[in-house]
Amino acid sequence: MKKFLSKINRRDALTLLVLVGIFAFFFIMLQTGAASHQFKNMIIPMTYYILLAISLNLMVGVLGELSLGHAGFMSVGAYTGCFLSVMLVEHFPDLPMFVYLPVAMLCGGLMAALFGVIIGIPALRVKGDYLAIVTLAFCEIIKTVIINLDFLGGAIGFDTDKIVPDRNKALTLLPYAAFAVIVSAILIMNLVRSKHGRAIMAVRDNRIAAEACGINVNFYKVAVFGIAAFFAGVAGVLYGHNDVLLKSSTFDFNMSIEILIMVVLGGMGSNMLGSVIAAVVMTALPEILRDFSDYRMLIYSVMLIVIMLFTSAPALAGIRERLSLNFIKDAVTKRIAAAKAKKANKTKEEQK
Amino acid sequence: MKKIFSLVLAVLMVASCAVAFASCNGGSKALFEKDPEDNVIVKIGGIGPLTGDYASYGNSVKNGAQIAVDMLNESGALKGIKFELLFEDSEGDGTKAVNAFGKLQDDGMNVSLGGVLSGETKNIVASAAESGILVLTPSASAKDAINKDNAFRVCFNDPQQGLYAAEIIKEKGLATKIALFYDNGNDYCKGNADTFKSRAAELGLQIVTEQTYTEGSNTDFSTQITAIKEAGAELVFMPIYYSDAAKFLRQAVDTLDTVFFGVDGLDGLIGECGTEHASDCEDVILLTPYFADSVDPTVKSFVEAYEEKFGATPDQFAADGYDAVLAIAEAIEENGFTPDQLMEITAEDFNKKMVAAMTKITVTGATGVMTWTADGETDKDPNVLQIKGGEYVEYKTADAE
Amino acid sequence: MTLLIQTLIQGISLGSIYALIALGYTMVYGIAKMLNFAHGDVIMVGAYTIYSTILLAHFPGWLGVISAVVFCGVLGVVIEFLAYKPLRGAPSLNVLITAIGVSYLLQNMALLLFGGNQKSMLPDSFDFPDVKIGNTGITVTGEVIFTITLTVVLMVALTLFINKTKMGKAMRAVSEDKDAARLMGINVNRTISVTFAIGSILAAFASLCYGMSYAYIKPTTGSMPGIKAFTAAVFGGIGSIPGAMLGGFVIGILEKLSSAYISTQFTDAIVFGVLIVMLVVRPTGLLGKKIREKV
Repeated sequence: MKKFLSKINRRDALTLLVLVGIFAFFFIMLQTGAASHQFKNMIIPMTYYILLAISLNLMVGVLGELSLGHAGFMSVGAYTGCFLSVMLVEHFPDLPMFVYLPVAMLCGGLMAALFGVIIGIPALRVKGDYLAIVTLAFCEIIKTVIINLDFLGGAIGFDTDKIVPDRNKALTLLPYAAFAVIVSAILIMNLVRSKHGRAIMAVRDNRIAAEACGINVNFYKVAVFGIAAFFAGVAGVLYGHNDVLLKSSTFDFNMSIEILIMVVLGGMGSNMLGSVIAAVVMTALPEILRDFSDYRMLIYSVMLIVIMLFTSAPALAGIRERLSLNFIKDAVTKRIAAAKAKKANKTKEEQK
Repeated sequence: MKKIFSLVLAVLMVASCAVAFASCNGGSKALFEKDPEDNVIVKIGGIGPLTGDYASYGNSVKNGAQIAVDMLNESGALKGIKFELLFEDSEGDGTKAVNAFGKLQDDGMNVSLGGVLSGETKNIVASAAESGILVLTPSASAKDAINKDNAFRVCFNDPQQGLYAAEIIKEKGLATKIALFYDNGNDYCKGNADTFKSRAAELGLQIVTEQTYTEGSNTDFSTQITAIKEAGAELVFMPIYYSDAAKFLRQAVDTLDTVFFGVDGLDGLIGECGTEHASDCEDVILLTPYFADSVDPTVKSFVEAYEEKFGATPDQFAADGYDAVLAIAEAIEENGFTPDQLMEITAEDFNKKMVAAMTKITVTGATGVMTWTADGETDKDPNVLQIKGGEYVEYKTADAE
Repeated sequence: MTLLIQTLIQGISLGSIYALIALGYTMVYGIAKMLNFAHGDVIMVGAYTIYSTILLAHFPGWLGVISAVVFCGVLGVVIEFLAYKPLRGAPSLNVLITAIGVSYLLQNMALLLFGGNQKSMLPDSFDFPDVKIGNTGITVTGEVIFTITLTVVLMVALTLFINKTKMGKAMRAVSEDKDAARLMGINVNRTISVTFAIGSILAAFASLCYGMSYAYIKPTTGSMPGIKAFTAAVFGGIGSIPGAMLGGFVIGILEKLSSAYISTQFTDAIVFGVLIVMLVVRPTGLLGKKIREKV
C-alpha cells in the first residue's frame, strides 16, 4: 500500500483517473445525445491521438530519441488492421465486431511493432537529428510503397466502409477505443515505472554510464522502438475503422509533426498526463477556431508560437513562476519542510 | 512550470468541452430559420480544402457556389425562399472533413454539397448516411465516393471520362501510339488513367509508355519528358489538373511535338498559362463539359458574374459548385415547397423528398444540361475542345476543316 | 549515353537548388544548434516577393531579385529575433516546434495575401536560350546553366566570406564554442542574426532558380524542397558547409538518376532508402564531424 502511494504511483493514478474521466464524459455525452455533431465526430480522433501522443512520448520523452516518422508506424498498423478486418468481414459476414476489431488491433499493432524494430536497428548507430531524418525517411518510404500497392487501393485509397456500420459510429467504436487507450496507458506507465523503465531513462540520460552499469543499451533502444510503434499501430487501426477510406498520403510528415507538437506541448518525460491533455486540446483547437473562418489556420499558427514562447522561454520563467498556483507550491514546500523536520527529529532521537 | 502549463491546458480543455456542450440545442426547433424579411432560409453546407495544397480547388467551388446563391437570391426565383452558403475548411483531409460536416450540421445545414475532393467526400457521405440529408458533391469524381442512396454528383466520374477519351481518340483517328502521363498518387488521375488504359486496349490503341509522378515531385518532369520522346509517342494522354499540366507543358513543349490530350481537369489551363506562357498550351485538346469562353447564355452570365465578384475566370470547379447550387434550387422547386410548408416539415421528410426529386429534375447549368440517375451519376455531354490562340474552340479534325 | 549525361545535368541543376537551401539549414544548425523548419517557407516568401515586384508592380527584373534578397534577409533576422531568440537556452525540441509554428504562419499569410491558386512567378523575359552541345544531341536549357553558375558563384562567395572575413571567423568561433566565443569578445547575438540573414538570402536566390526552372508557385511551394534540402543537409553532415553543398548535389543527382533508370514512382523511396543506408554506414553524414564520446 505504501509503495502504491509513492509519488510516481500517485501521478500515474491521476493520469488514469483523467483518462477514465475523459472517456466517461465522452460516453455520457454520446449516450444522452448531448454531444453536438462536431464534437461527436471529434471523439474517436481524440482517443487515437491520445494513444499516438503517449506512445511517441515513450520514444521521445523517455528514451530521448526524436522521431519524425510516427505517422509511418500508424499507417502500417492502419493498413494491416483494416485489411484484416475487411477480409474477415468479407469471408465471415456474421462475425461480430468484438471479435474482429480486437484481432485487427492486435495484428495491426504487431505489424507496426515489427517495422518499429526494423527502424530501431539503425537507431543503434545513428543518433539525434540524424535519427530523426532516418525516421522521416522511413515514413516517406512507407507512403510511397503503399501508393504503389494495388491490393491496398493505391492512390485511390483503401475502402474501409463496410467494416463499421455508419449509424452511431462514435458510440460503437468508443468502448474499443477507450479499452485500447486505457490498457495501453497502464502498460506504458507500468513499463516506465518498472526496472526496465529506469533502465531506459538511464540510457536517455547517459548512455555510457548506463552501459557501464550493465544495462543492455541496444536491447532497450530496439525494444522501445517496437513498443512505441505497436501502440501507434493500434491507433492506426482505430483511425482506419473510424474513417471509410485509407489514403497513404494522409500519413505524412505533417501528421508526424502534429503528434510531436502534442508531446512537446504536453511536456516530455515519464509523466503521460501532459501528453493526454495536449492530445485532446490540440485535436479540439483547430475545430474551435472554425468560427474565425479564413483566419483559422493563421490564428492556430500564432497560438502555437505564442504557447511555445510562453511555456519555454527562459526569460519568462519569472512570470510563469508568479502565475503558478501558489497554494500548491506552498503545500509542497510545507510538506517537504515537515518531512525534513521529522527526519531531523528522528536522527536526533537516535543520537540520544 | 509544467504544473502551470498543464493547468492552462486543463482549463482550455474544459472550455473546449463547454463549447461543445453549448453548441447543442434541443431537437424541437423548426428545420428552417427565417430572415428579418420573413423569407425562409435554406442553408447549403459546403466543405473543401481552403488551406493547404489543394486550397485552390476548395476556393473555386466555394466561390462558384456563392455566385449561384447570390443569383438565386437576387432573382427571387423561389418565392419567399432564400439560400445561404456555409463553407468549412477540410484541409483536404477526410477526418477533418467529417468534423467540418458535424460543424455544419450543428449550424443547421439543410442540404450538403459534400466535399470537393473524392476522399473527403466518401467520408462525408458515410457520415451523412445516418441523417439521410441530400449530398450533392460538385467535384468528387472517384467512382465510389458517392456509394450511398442520398449522394449525387455534378461532375463526371473518373471511369466515364477515361472511356470517352479513349473512344474519341480512336474515333477521330488522333493517334495510335499513346503515352500516358499522370499523377500516380492522385485518385482522380489514377482513376481516369486506369479506365483509359483498359478501353484503349480494347480499341486497339497502343500505349507505348506510362509515365507518372507524385505530388512531392510535381515540379521537375524532365525524366518523364525524355522517356516519352524516346518511346516515340504520337499523343500524350494526361488526365491531370491544369496546375500540374501547365508546369508539365512549360517543360515539354520544346522537346515534344506530340498531341496533348486531357480531360476536364485541364480546364483553366489557358488562364494558368496566362499571357506569359500562352504558347505552351496552344493546340492542347481536352474533353470537358464546361469551358469559360462558351457562347452559351447560362455559362456567359455565370462567367460574367464570377469575374465581376472575384476578378478571376471561373474554372471547372467553380462551374461545378455553381451547378450544384442550381440543382438544389431546382429540387426544391420540383417538390413545390412553399415557405409555410418548409416551416412545418420535419428533417426526415425534407431529406427524403429532396433525394427523391434529384432523379426527376433537369438542370441547365454551366456544365451543360444535366439529369441524374438513381445511383447518383449525372448524364451530360462532354465537349471536345482545342486551345487555339488563347481560346477554347470546338475541336475539328484536319480533314473536316 | 545521351540520356545519362542529360540526366546528370538535370540532377546537378536540381541539386544546386537543394544545396542553396541546405546551406541555410546547415549554417543555422551549426551556429544556433536548431533545426529551422521554417527555412523552406522562406523560399516561398522569396518567390512571392519576386512575383509581386515584377508581375504585380511591374518593376524591372533585377529590382525584383534585389527586393527578394533584401526582404528574405530581413525576414530571417526578424523571425530569429521574435521567435527563436527568446527561446535560446530552452530545449531544442521546443525551438523546433516554434519553427514549425513559424512555417505554418508564413504559409497561411501567403495564402491570405495571394490565394491558393498557383501563380506563374516570372515573365517570359527571364527565359534564357537553350544551348546545344555540338552534335551529341544533348540540350542544356538556359535556366540550368544559370542555376548552376549562380550556385557556384554563391558557394565561392560564401566560402570566402566564412574563411577570410572577420564576421566569418566569428561565425566559425560561435559554432565551435558559444561561451568561449563570447569570452573572446564576439557578439554572439549579432553573429547569429547575420547567419540567419545569410541563410535567408541564399534561400531567396534558390527561389529565383526554382521559379526559373518550374515557373509556378503557391503557398505550399517551399515545403517539399525544404524537406529534401533538410535531408541533403543531414546527408552531408549537418553543421558542415561543404557537406550541405555535397549533400544537395548528391540528393539531386540521385533523384534524377533513379527516376530516369529505375522508376518515377519509387524515386522518393529510393532516395530515402539510400539515405538510411548511408547514415547507418556513416552515422554523422558524409562530411559531418565525428563526435568522440568522452567517458
